[in-house]
Amino acid sequence: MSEFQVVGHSVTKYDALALATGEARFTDDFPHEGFLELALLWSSHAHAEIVSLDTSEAEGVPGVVAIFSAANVPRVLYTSAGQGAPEPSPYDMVLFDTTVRHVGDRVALVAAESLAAAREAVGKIRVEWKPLPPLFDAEAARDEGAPKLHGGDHHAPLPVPYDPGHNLAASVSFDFGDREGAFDRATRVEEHEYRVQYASHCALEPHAALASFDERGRLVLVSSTQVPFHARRITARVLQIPTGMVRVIKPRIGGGFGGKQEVLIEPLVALAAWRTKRPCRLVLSREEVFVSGRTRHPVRLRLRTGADPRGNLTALDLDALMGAGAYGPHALTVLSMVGGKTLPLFNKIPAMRFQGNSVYTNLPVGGAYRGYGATQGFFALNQQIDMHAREAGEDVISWIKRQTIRAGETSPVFKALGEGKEGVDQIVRSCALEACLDRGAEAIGWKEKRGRRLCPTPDTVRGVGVAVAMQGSAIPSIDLASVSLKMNEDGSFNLLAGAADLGTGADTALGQIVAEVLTVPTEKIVVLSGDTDVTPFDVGAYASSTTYLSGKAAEKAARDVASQILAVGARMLEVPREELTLAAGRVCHAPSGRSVSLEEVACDALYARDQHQIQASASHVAPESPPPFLAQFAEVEVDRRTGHLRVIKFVSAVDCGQPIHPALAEGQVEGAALNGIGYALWEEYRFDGQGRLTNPNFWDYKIPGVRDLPEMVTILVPSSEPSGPFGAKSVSEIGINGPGPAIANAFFDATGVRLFDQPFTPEKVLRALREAGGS
Amino acid sequence: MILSFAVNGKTVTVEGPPLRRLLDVLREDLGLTGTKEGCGEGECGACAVLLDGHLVNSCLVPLFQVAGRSVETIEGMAPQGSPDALQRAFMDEGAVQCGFCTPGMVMASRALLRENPSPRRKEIRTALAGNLCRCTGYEPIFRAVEGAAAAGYEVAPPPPAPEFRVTCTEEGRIAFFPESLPEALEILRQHPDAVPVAGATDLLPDLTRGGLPGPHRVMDLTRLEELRGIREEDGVLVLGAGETFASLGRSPLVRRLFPSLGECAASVGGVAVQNRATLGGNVMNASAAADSPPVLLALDARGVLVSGEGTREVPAKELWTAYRRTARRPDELLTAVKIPRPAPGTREAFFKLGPRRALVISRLTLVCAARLEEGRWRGVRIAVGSVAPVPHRLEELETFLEGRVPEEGAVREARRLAEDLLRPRTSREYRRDVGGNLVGRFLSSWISPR
Repeated sequence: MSEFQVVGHSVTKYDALALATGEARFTDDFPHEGFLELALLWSSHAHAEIVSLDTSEAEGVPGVVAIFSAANVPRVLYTSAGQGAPEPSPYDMVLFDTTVRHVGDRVALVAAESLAAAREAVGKIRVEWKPLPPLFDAEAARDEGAPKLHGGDHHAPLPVPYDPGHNLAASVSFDFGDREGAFDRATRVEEHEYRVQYASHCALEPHAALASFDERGRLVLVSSTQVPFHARRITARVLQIPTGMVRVIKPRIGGGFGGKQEVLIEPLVALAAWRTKRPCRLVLSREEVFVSGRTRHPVRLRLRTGADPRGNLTALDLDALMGAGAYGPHALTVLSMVGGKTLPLFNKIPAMRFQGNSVYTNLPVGGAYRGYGATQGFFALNQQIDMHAREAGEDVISWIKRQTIRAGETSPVFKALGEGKEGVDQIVRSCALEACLDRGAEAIGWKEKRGRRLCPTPDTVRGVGVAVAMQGSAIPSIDLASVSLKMNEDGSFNLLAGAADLGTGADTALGQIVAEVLTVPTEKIVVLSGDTDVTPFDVGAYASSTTYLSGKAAEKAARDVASQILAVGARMLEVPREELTLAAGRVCHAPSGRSVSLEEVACDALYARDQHQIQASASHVAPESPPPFLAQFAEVEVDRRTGHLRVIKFVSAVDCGQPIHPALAEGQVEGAALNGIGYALWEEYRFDGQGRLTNPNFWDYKIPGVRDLPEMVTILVPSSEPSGPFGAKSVSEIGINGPGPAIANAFFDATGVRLFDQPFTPEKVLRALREAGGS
Repeated sequence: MILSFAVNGKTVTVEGPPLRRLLDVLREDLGLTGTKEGCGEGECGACAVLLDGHLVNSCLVPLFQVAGRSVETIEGMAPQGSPDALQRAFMDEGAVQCGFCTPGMVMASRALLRENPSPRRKEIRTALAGNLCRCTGYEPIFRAVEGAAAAGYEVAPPPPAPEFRVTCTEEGRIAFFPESLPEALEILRQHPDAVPVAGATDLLPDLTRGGLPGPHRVMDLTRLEELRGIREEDGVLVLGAGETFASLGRSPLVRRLFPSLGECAASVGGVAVQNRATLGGNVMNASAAADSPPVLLALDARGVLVSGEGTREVPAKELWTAYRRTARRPDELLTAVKIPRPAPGTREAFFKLGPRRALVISRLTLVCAARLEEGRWRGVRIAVGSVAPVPHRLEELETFLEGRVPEEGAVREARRLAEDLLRPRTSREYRRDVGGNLVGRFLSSWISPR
């Protein structure tokens, strides 16, 4: 099946056993006896000034050790976005401010001997508020009279557009070709407005962090983070202590999906520990994750497209208005990727414009979320291409095949839109989108079902729809990954990887890559990742980077070690090194049939002659970000009487290059697809008139469970990416980009009615049907 | 209070307040951190353990109710670190991604396989409906359960529980454990503030969410045999108030006589919640969105309220007096719900509408019952929940339909009338629309039978 020995095989995930027996430790599973417990006072106002903060009664609660607020915590501007330094996000927050900007903003932190005492004290902090006019409507944010959220010394550390005077957290634009001319000449123009909503990552493990001290008095953080090195840097900066005084350990992580690419609570536990000289613990409740954690940015998209008589797109104009929420982490980069990770797919369009603005509002704070802007952009694009194909009387699948990027091609968008700086020119070197479309169409039964409007009962009708997507693999020329690798006497190897396995199985994938090079089983590779004291640097788990980027670093280090092994083997066998190969864990000399084992090589190097540790370190920065490609198909059933929209079958066909671990790759796609189905159908933030979230819990905010599950089919369509380790590209994010538009297109196929506004709740569906006269 | 219970076959003695969550006792006091907390509301199943062999969410179990009982956690399955066959199947099938939900999934699967060694896919889905996973698409988890079953996975019976022994350390006895109904009624007479606790599936999340200390006195209802039983007496079905939704959903008697009640029971939460939540609790908690009250209304049920003074039967229409208020006096206990046997030929329909199929806090519950006699509708009863502070019957609509001949015009008119009678405060237009449509769908079944 696979041309490789280890890569391409679904080996046992390293931590699967310990996780299945409950022995593996997540952050809150570490012993914390004697730790101070932390509790936060959150703002109940969307926008207000703290006139005074009286902690005297709270301090009197037995067991209370310290209370932190703007009154006693130095004001250090930073961004909680876990990105490279300096971050492409504005420095617009401090640990505790005298102005709160959303319900759930931090007001004060209590450290106490017990959680009950900490919580009691939180309830006894008296705050005198001066309410400020709130800003909830992103459309009105740039108006002259709109309340201003930021100003003063708030600034962007990079030379990027930042204009707090107009509530602009970020803006981007690019433009090429004779757009207006093309629109003038177009025979068909479509212009529509789309809305995608707030959502929570809902990693089952909430944010958790522990802070303690090592014997040298250094701060040791155990944290549920995707970005150990960024967490170390940002925490040290906010506390104004040297980076070397902080160690961040990432244990097992209960999912992240971008929500833990944020340095959210590490500075809080670090502050409390540093100031009290006591170890401290903070675990957010589910409600706290909802209101104070990061979210998917809501976006309003206005998309105008023009086509020639054959339906070929000749002009595109996309305007995106993103609600950044109260602060701007990822406000620029997610916005950029609304265009940057979507428009290159349609590289035949000769004239394009993309304009985006990311505005502050007094609502929850946006951040990184699987899909990172592409999810939002593809929602609009995929519906609009469905319209154009229908108008041209062409099957949308053949339309997509003609109009999308292929191997050997490029798009000006790659260079135009980067992440905080210009992007990179790149030629797509692997693309199996056509095969994804064909195999997916077959799996869903496209030919038999499309346009048939089958009615299983008088009140229900079915339809099928498709959506296509791309993503990237790491941020090109920005993201750095590194590993070190050393050999032991028994022919095993320690791989120390900076990468952060957040539950994806990345440790296992990296181990497989090293094992493949060294021709040993994966059990011979002992992977340790996510400890800033022990492993070399890695940006962490985001931008779909680990397999592609950290994997390449692992491959480089393994090749270096392999060559050192051959050198020792050559000396041992007294043959020229060029005549040696590694095979099945031995150094082999084919001409003579002689060989030595890796154990013998390791012992020889460590104890016998020319003694040295066989070891290597390697770093990797990719000059390009090869996109994975995907086609997703939904079959839906609509109940015209209740508005209930049910997904019956969902097919994902994805080109992620060579899958390193097929089962884990499928798991990524399937999990992302289901997350996307939940986002399309139910998941949303509902606010009252004061900006308070009314559904901050799993009772009211529903994520897909077993009963909601459609028949899921996941197909990995092989390709080989020359720049990736053993041909691999990324796979972790892309699967969330298609469900929304594929379901909307399927709904149209069933009913002839468009859904422009996610989620497609029964209420909205019924309204849309009624407005269209279809009910 | 100090009490003993068995954890994985070993007796442990712990001290804590009665309403301390079993989850915290396991993780903090006993160091059994394999059980995880994902939501604290019984919605995610990460904290699922077995209590006397039944799957429960340990975040919804108050400490005082585990006295003298047997708890099984994930740690008990692999005592020497060697996984058992079910855990190995999870590993082999790639069912473990981040692994945070895994212990709960394994416990739910174990509970299923103990009862049903070779489950079908549909049964696995039902068994895992209360366990959320955000990483996989569930498929590998199903395969793991099927794989273990196919390999002949055997589950030992739950380990025995220690003797019931409780010491209340605080003054004034704050937890009561009556063993008989008279004892319980005497406690209520002396302490009208004592809160009767059955499944605690509403109580604990309410306390957690409100950050409340909870009632000063609680009384465990789970030991009262008098609240048990599902039986027919003189053409009346008598349902013990302490019966869980799990047993109602499984009861052939309930399913045969009152399909809407059976459907309702199966739609309340996941297995872990159904194993704990009781009919009496659902009725007496009187949440506007509770599932069973509209069903009981439509079935002309009566609540049996007992006190030291005597017994009274209150019709469903009078049970719920206002938002979260019932007709129960502080010295009374709901012991049973009685439902008259339906007239032959009665059809029932239970509609529960929410944004998601599973586990929704209902946004509209509609229950209909009627039969056809000599070509005319008779015994029409239509009840709604979730659209007003208390569930109620649509009496004008019932009167309109009673004795009418099924035909399109009547259905159209009934639909319109239903819309008029529904007056929800939010999503008004939508809920009225759908309410009308669902009434129409029920009535149309006589016109165009499917």
